[in-house]
Amino acid sequence: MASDAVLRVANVTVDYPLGRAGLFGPRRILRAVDDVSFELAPGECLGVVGESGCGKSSLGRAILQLVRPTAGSVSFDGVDLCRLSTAALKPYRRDLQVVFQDPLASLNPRMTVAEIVGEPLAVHRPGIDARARQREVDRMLERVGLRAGMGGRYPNEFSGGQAQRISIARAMIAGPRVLVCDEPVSSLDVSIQAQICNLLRELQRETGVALVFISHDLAIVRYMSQRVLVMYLGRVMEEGRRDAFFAGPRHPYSQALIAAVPVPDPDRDIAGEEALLAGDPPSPANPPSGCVFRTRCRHAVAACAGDRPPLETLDGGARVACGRWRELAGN
Amino acid sequence: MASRPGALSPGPVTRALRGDIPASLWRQASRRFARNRAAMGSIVVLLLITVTSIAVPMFWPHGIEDASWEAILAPPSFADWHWFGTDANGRDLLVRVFYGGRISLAIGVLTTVVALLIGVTWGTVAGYLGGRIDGFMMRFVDILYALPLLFFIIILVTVFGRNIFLVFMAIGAVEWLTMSRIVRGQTLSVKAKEYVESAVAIGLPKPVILWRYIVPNVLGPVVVYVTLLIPTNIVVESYLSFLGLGVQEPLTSWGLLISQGAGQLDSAPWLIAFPATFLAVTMFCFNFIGDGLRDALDPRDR
Amino acid sequence: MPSTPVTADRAPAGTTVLECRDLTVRFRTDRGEVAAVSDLSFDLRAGECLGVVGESGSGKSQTFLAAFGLLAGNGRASGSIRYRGEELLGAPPETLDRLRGDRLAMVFQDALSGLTPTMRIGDQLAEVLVRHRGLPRREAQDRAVQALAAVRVPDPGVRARSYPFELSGGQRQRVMIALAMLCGPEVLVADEPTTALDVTVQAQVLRLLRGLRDETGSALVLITHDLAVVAGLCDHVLVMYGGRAVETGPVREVLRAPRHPYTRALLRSMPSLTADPDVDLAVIPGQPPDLENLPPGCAFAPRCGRAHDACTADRPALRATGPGRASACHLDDAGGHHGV
Repeated sequence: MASDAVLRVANVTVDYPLGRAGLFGPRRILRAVDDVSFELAPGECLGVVGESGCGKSSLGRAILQLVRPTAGSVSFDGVDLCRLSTAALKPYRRDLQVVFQDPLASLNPRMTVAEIVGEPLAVHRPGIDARARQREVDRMLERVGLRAGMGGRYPNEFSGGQAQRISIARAMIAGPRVLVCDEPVSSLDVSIQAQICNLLRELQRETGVALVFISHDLAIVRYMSQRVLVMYLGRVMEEGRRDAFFAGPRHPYSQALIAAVPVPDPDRDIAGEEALLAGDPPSPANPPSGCVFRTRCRHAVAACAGDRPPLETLDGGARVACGRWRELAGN
Repeated sequence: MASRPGALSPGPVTRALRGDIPASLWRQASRRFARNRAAMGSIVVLLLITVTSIAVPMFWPHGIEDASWEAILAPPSFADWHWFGTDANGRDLLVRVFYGGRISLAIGVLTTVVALLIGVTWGTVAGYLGGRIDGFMMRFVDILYALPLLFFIIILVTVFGRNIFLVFMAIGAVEWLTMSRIVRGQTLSVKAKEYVESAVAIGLPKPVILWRYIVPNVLGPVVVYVTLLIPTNIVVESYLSFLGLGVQEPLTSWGLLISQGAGQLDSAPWLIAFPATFLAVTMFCFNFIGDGLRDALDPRDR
Repeated sequence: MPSTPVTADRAPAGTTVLECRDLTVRFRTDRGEVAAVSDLSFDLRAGECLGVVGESGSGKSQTFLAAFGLLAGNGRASGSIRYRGEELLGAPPETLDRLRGDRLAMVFQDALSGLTPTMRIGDQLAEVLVRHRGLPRREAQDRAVQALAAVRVPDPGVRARSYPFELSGGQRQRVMIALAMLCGPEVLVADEPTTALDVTVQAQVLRLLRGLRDETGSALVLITHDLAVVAGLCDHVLVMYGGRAVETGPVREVLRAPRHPYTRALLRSMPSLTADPDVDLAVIPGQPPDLENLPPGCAFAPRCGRAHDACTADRPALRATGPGRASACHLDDAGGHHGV
């Protein structure tokens, strides 16, 4: 992989305490992210996919240091952010920004749009005066497709799509180099999703910002990303370049995910029983032994319950964590 | 759509169907509040009581301590400017009621301000910092909760002597406990909002996040509680005075007047009727305003 | 759905079970009246699956809330919705109570809010059978377990004794479907049943709905914002925009050769697993319609790339464009001169 990575995530693990089992029982933990590693090159977009509870949002928050990882490192430009104090982290906040799923919940309802969008400038470029900041805010609002005159309004005067544009303006105004997008379009109307996706793609082309695009929607991830990382119960199941991944997913879980995507094609049936996963993901508080996916995997054999399959790196940089993928690919 | 919560965020239309007006939250709320007649009427009455309480004792022909030997326990009459009658010392009741209004309202407002300042600070800090600090701060509140108010005030009064400021302190110091619990609960729910995470992500320091993101967003329920706390505190002062622990002669308050009037309920009913009426009207007004604010700030709860 | 049907009298396949004519739904708001649905007409036949597609503010949910007598307090419906000839709009509450949950059933997006949190799943299901069918409690309990098995809830006997919070999102939605199907309704309306679910679970639930439709011959209405969900499941589709039907027809034809510019733009704006991802998506500009400020002409005109003067002046009527198909667009008058 690229050695000039802007972001290098190594063996990141995130645990949440769950309290004791019973009054004097052992302290239980929920391992939301388990030993995840990847690199992100400047200007690249990595799609992180998985079902709810797979740890993709926790991974995003760990990258941003919104939750501090229990183990592992998140290196930005070679500096391990996990070792920095809150104060020492502050300059890096400018480089790592975030867009959340619910656009209205991610804007402070008591602040005007101009205050919301201008705030990162006030934090990271305190030198510039109010007039210059206002100009910057107006320019940014217009860049994301809003009118500059809208700065005086409050977030609840906007529709979901417009509010998401405001979120993007706030995230982009200080010129970040990594933008974590956590399900940025999944609460929007279909006709608005494409608008926001295209806006993010344009901004990425213009500014060279690298994206970590977290989504449960594989069609959107395919549209947005150059590489795809599939997570299940906190672990990486597969990673690969977009075209190769969608053309020939190796992990049975990736195959099932792709098969389940609904397609607006009347001649394509809903995924058949044989391609579908049985049941729901198990609780991350109590993951299965061995391969965590084995309880829903059609190809699971007794050996899958034994050792955890390693994340194997293949030629060309793709990675897969399945003990049987070669065997299955042969069929 | 309109009536179903779920993954799709409400668009402007959906919000219009729910009856929300797209405007600043405060502007929306004040518009809804202005349409509430009971609440608006209450504001007018309260203002009237406040203004007369301040103004009337300034120019009324009788002072609060002027005893008149000719008119002891005189019933209300327009002669001699004893509109509300006089008490056992021949003092004019009207001027004493309005003067007592000053003290009662001042106690109600000031104790609430004390409770508000301590309660909001304590609650937001505990809720936002969380963890051990939260645990320690809220256990402290629990312990104070366990102390009966009366017991607490009796201790204060015996140690420091009777003093009107002590009454302020004592009531405020007890009433902030509930306030801090309300604020902490509210803070916990605001803290989980993504806009607070986005504030952390842009590198704002904690005090700024508290002040700019948490406090304005927990104020809604707090404002309602404040309007209900003011009358509560007026009543608390009344019963402290009734028990002889509150305001001392020659100062007076509605509570003290009622307690004095209660002794002469048979012979001079006006002594209790006038201060009690003023107290009751004030209570009603604050409660109507509180209800109006609650409806205005949370339109779904109608 | 239970192995032996509890109900007898059903409309034969192909006959109309739900007939909606000129439905208009208005809401009184702080700023005047808003029409959420305008002049909507459609037929639903037994054994058919109708997809109702639209964005927020399209009126797709309000249509069926009106049919079920579940409109919010400030809403009023006019026109006519008949279930096998029986008028539902303005029907007395007793009539609606008798039909709802029995002949007409609805499944919502948020499964948790549809279940009583303090009652066991099995008891909630049995309760319906006791009330609507007068079954003895014992038998009702057994049927409840069968019903859970029919929607493929694993360990139905165990699950019947669980409380709603103990189930996953997908299982809760299955329980809601079991609850809706319990009395063998003739019309099942599913309002965004899979929007809150993961894709893998979504496919399971869609297959389940189709299986139930095939087994029981119920008419199924699938309300969704996602044309892709409609594709694999529905026979007919009704595309709504700004409270009106803009295009109707057989799913296959509408998706293959959409006539209304909105349907076409919507299809083009959806990322797919087959299109070249390096080509930018065609975007529908602007925002979903604001029902308070609908333009006088076609509601879609402000966002339509082909709108001309007539589009902003007159509202196009829904006109037949082929067998079973209709579209409401001025550009379609010449008879489909524009390609896909």
